[in-house]
Amino acid sequence: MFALERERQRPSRWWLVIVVLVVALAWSQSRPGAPRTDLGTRLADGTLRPVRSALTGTTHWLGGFFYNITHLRTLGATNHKLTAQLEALPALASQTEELRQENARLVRLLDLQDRLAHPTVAGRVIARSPSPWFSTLTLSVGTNSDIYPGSIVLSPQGLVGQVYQSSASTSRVLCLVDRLGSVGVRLQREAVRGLVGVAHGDGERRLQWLLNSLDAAVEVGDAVVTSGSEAHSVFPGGLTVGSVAAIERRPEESAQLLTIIPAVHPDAVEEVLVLLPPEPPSAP
Amino acid sequence: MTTRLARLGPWLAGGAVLAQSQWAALLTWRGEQADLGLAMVVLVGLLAGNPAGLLTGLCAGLVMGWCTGLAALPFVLSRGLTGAVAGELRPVVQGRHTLSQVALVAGGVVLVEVSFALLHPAVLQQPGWLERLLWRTGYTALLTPPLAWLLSWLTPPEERPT
Repeated sequence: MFALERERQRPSRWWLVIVVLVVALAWSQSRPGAPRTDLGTRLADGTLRPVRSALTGTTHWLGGFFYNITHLRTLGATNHKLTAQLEALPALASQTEELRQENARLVRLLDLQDRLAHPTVAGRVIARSPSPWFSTLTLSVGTNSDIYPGSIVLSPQGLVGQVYQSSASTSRVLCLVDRLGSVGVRLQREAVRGLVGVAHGDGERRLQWLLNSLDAAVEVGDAVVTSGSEAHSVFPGGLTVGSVAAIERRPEESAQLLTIIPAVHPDAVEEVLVLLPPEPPSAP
Repeated sequence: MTTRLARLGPWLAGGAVLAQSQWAALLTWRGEQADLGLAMVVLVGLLAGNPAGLLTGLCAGLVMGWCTGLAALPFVLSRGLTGAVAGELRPVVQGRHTLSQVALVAGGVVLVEVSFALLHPAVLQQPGWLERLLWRTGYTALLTPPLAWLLSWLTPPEERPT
């Protein structure tokens, strides 16, 4: 019985085994030149990975869940704000596109201003004719900017027309394509360069030129420019008027009727340059 | 000239012409513009009678002439005449369907353009005058229902035709 009692009191040796194992593991990890990940670590990682992944996922989910609960009120407001921003995006994109196009037009206008020998004033089209029977434009510049009736109006694409009325801050332009509009023209192509004449607006966004030559080799697409051939020509020579769109031979008149599509469409022009006269007309 | 529409008519028609001049490109379809100002003249004439129709027409013509800077007198006379005719037709169309208003606005466009052409014959020399007139008539007639609704909204209930 005494011997049995002593057997019970003998301390267990298992703790010694654990200590040895821990020390051995620590030694194997800290030993110089030892692999970074020993077998034990790899085994533990491999075994625990699914558990740790599940735990991490659960933690994230719970975190999100509680975050959503606490921020539910602000989420609604944020959603409204984002929706409003999203709805405003097309309008913003449209505005940006408008500004881009305006910028491109103004750059072209500046280029034209640099190329012209005459002094010019830039103006904006602020209104158009409300009647379909007239092609007129109202500009944002007038006599305050030295613009008087007779001033020539241009756009980067070509000739627009001529000022026929002007007040202090506005002026009205009769477009070339108006039935009352006319301009001295010639063809630009070398082979038919000598042909000059007068083109008249037909009131329907085109010009008509009765060319007094039945044999002239005019072709559809030929560029038409201002002739400026006479000393007192209203328009300076070489300004783009448009291009030949149709040719109608008229043997009975020994002529060809050329239909010219203007380079500048009165409905599309936004910004223009007005050529200033050398001297403003004297008051009557 | 005591009804609200009679007082507002000239202003509305003048504003419509100005809007037409300002936003012409927006009102253009197949190269033709709707005549917003004229539709307003005819509708004011039909809803408020004379002299509101006549005065509205004269005002619209005046603004039209001012905006164009050309042929002011033919504009004033042709629109004044059309407004007066619409005003005289008021008892006939009173209380009828919008369709009759659409038909009368279409008739008004034809009347104004024919009278304008008589006063300013140069427009007849333009190619496709008749075809353009037809397109313009149809397009303006299409704009009539919303304009009629706007005018009826502006009219107090006690002044609406029964």
